[in-house]
Amino acid sequence: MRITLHIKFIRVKKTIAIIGATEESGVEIVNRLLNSSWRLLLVSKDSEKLRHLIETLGDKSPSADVEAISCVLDSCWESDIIFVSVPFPEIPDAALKMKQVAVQKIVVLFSDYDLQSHLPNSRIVHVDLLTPDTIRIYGKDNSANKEIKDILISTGYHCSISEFPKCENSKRNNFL
Amino acid sequence: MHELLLNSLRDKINISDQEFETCKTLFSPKKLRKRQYLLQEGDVCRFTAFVEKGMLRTFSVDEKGNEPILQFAMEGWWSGDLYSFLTQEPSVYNIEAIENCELLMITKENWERLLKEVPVFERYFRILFQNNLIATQRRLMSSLSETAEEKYLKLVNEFPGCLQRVPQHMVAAFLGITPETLSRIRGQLAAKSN
Repeated sequence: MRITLHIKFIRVKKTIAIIGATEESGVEIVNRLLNSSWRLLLVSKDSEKLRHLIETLGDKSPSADVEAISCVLDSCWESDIIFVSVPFPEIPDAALKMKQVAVQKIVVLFSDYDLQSHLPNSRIVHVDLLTPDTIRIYGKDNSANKEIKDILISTGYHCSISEFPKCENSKRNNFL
Repeated sequence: MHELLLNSLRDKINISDQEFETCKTLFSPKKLRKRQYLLQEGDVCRFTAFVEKGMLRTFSVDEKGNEPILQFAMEGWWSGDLYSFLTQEPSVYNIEAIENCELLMITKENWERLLKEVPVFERYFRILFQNNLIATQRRLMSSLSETAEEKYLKLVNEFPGCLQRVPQHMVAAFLGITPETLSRIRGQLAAKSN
């Protein structure tokens, strides 16, 4: 009896940039995405912390496709989806750096900060961590919300999508 | 970032600054490193891409593992699987960056939106499609009737810059000949010119 095995090699590897990768929310999402089929580009102002993070990730998962990049612009230019986990005061500066190359890309923010006004042509998705494993997603772009929901569910989160603007009784949580 | 796109547009249509600003809001800039893939056989081609910098090849893989190349796309050219892009059916092609690339990508949905919001783009893409059809017919006739040497010389004359940037085995794959045949042709031509 002949058995034929067909293996599809995944050649198109989509890229996620995490801006503020060494912040608490950044580290959390990096660890969640580590063993996924995504290529991760990590950006942080703190190069020493970033170097240490990369080393730790390498020990945890040697085959993971993770790279540190010093430049916000370049990382967002190469990426298909951008996670922004910098502290509040640094969000406008990060938005300015990525503005030209974030056009029509999904940009995920771990707060309700009005990023859309800084990135008018990007597809903004807001994420609220309700419990360590439960996330509420909201934003104006339904297909972007769904795409991020699918990604986060694949990393083990329980996710729901809220109406935009977000519900009154939802907790604002920006990991700060 | 959009310089070559603007040149390409103004070469074929009259487009105002405001119309171009609208156009820019619908294209997503994407950097691709050498050997990264834009499209894989079996996936739906969700984007078509304008090449601002770099070069890509569109190819399929046959049963023997050969990789015949349908086309190269360099600066100022478009890359994508048109059939898959328009019908949203799975592609039979792969598209790989053979140099580091800077692309401007547009989804089918935004492409339809562009045609609606900036109607002059209908003319632009009509011209691109008709040029593509003519080039495809010429390539088909060349494939059916010309010798390997004639095909090679046509490529050298029409796209001289391309040969310096593309590995020889890929030139052979584009011409539909073996690398050994290409090497022989180049050697014979070099001997003739001496």
